Amino acid sequence: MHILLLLHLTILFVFPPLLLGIIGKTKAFFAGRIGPPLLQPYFDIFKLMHKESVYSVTTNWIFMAAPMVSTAAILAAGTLMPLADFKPPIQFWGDMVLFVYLFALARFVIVLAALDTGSSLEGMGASREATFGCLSEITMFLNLTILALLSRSLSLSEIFLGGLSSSWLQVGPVLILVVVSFFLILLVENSRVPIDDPETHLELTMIHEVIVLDHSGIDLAYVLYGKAVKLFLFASMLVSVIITFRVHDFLIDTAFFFFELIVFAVLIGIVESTMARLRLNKVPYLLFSAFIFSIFGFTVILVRGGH
Amino acid sequence: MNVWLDAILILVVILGLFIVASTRLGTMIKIFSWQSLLLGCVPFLMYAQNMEFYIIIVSLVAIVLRGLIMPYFLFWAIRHVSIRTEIRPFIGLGATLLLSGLSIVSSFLLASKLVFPISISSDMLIPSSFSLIIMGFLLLVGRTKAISQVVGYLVLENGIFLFAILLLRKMPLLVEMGILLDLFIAAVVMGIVVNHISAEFNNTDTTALATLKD
Amino acid sequence: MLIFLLFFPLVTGGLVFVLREQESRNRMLLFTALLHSACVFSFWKFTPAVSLNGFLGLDALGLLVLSVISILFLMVSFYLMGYFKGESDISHRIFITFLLFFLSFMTLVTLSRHFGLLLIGIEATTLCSVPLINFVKTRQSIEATWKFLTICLVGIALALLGTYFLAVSGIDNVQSLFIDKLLDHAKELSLPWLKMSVIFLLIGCGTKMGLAPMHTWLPDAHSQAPSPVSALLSGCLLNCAFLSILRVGQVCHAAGQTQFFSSMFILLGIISLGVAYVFILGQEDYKRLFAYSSVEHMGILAIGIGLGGIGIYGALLHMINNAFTKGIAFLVTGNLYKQYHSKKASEVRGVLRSYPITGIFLLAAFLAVSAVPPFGTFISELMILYAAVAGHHYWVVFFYSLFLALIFMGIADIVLKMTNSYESPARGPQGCPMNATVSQPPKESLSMVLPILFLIVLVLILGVYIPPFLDDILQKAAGLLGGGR
Repeated sequence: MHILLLLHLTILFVFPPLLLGIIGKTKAFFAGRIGPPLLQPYFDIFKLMHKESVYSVTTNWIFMAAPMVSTAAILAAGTLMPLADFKPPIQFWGDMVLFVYLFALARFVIVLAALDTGSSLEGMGASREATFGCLSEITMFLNLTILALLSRSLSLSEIFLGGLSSSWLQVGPVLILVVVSFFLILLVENSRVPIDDPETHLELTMIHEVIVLDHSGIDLAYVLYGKAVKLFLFASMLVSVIITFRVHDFLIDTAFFFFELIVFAVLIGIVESTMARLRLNKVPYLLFSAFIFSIFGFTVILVRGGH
Repeated sequence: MNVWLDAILILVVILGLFIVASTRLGTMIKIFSWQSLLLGCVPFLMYAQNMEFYIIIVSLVAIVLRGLIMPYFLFWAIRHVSIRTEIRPFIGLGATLLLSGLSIVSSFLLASKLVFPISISSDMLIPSSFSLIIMGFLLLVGRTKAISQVVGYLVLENGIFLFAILLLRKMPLLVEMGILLDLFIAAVVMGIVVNHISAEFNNTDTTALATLKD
Repeated sequence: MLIFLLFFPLVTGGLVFVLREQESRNRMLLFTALLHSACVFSFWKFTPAVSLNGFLGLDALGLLVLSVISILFLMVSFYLMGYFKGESDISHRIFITFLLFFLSFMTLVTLSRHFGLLLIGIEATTLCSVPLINFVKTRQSIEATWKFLTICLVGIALALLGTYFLAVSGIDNVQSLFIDKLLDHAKELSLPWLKMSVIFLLIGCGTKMGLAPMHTWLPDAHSQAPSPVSALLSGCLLNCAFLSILRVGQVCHAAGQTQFFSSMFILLGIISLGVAYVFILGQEDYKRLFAYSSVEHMGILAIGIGLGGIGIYGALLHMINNAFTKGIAFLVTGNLYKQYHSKKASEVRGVLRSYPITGIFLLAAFLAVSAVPPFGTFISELMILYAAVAGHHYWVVFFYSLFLALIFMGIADIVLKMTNSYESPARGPQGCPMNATVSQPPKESLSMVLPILFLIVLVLILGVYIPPFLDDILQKAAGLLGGGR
């Protein structure tokens, strides 16, 4: 049993940067380039670990603590989330709420750190991040509530480990709504392309990237790593909603799970290479539609009394 | 429970959302056409077990009139008045989107309170029709371009048609066809008046229609 | 017979469309109107058989409205002969065609015994009146047409939804929208759906009828349409909408929900009176003045129906009186517009001196509209007041008499200045005197005088004497709604 928990943690800690690598490779492929090696994110993080951090004189301990706290919060959220058939190390009734709020905590400290620098650009980015964050958080909660209603459980491990197995047959259309809404939220939360361009270096147009501009060295490594883990968690959550089918063979299921994740990363890469970034003032509309999708599904489930 | 019917109904409402959220007239008309085509398929799914000749007729007429001829006519109208986008709606896009979300929720809650006297094949039919009606209203009230108002009226009618599908077997064919034809001609007349407006005012902004008041 | 009545105007309308000469078109219009009236009069003697599988039939209510429509249409088509003289350069082909279609579909509304068919008729009348309102094709008239079209179409869409609700309310036992069947099984209808349907139908048809919060299209359309069309809109179209509401009222009465129906109706009626008063006060445009007076009278009808008992009898009588009165009023405004070429009340002065006949008619129209005895409107409004007092609805009595008195003063202020005042003799907008037209009055053509005279005489007769055959039909019709003397 302990071996399984250990395996869960290993996947959680080791696998995430690979997703970023796959996305980068896909985008390079579509742009007709060879692109960085698949393991480039690992190299980046490793390199940054060995660099010195530079702190502005106007900052205080909040700025220094933020990257660590946020990464820790995201990893803690990861310990609540089942991956493939691995049970999470921690599970209790209602961990769903904690899960969402750990992400909120991660965002909160990063925003605080951005404000702490006193830079006007970072303040702007912080306000955007907070605005979009509060819109996406509601939707996230609604989506999880729908899943909870469908699987009659408030615990992530029960929802994703078999709780939804019959739902696709009963309320498939509603689950499609949830999936679409989840996908939009994923793009927003992880500042992917139609919302935010992770590659850009024009501060005025950035959302997430601009608030971590002042971090350097190991702090930046933390931020990068935390971002990768967050993307990984969202992706695995979405994948477990979409594909509830299991052959009940431990190895095959696990391998299939990784395969799904990789396909998903390629999908994100395709979306990023085929779409242009939205104008900033259009982003709320995207969030509104995600919200409406999920509240639509929520109402349907509520009126029918769940299953 | 009919999952396919549910899927189509959800899609129809989502398409309604897209119409409400778009400002390009061409896009609105295209999405409207898709919506009408989907709506035309609903009777086939609903009455799949006991198909009757005139149900087929009514759905086919609806598909052809609303899904094909009407969009074609509307495209003709926007080419004529050379207007492409809704620039400054009365109610902003975000507000319209949120209001339509609210309309979906409230129509589902309302429909769950109203007990339908006989059993129907999907409990989503009535709320979807209500929310389409409200979205049509939002377009009618919130937009300034005459053509978007026409599209709003058509969306409203799609909602009513969706409700009418419930009663297809109870209404005589004559009446059903008469109503379909009436609504169709109404939309055509609106389109023609839009052309008159554009000829007289050089644009189709209904905010220009404000000389008559007390 | 009923089918003939329905399709005959359609056919002649089509004929008019292909006819070459203006003169023969006018003759065709008059001929159709005459034949239509003749048919309708024969119905007073011989009740026609139900036809078209029970879709068409004529009851007392339908007969009342149909006769009003027929008489008014006859007068208007007679009037049009004179109205079109001197405007021969404009083609009236489409106008007359749609006028005849309009008549046909109004007939359909009065004859239909099926709620779906009723709505088809109402919607078709709306569509047919579009080219009628947009006859002159100015900016203002297009604006009025657009407002009329959007507001009424949405109203009808709501009414359609209401009709479907009505069908749902009886889906497990009645399974039909035939009025007679619904009336027979009214007690078995599902109540929540019936109430929803009543609300939607009231709002939808109320829009078409011009009841207050939904009346906004009415003044625009009436002021921009040619005057004969305004007369038809006010006297016929509004009554058609009224009739469709009465059909709902019939079902409500049969289902024992009269209270629900009438409370809403009284509320709408009082709001209409208030709105009409506010906008009549100091109205610049004399056609809008009469349009708002239409809103007022529709409010009175609603109150009368809502009060029940003798109120219903009064309201039905008032419907007849009001239709003829509005015919007088709008046809007179047609004469005025012909002579002054302005719709502004401030530019029309001293009508009594310049055009004595029109002046007298205008005075008569004013007196009839504001229900001064011995005009018929007085009797019917008095009946409604009596019903309010008898039913102890003292708030209704208060508002009703208050607004009627205020509206009387508002109209008197405007109209009396138009007829009598001599100061500032007819000045144009830039102060240019319009004496040229005033000094040599064109002759008031006979066909523009006789119809008005006829209508005035009719209203006067109704004021002093209700013939027994009319009383009989009124009693029957009121009985259908659970009222009567």
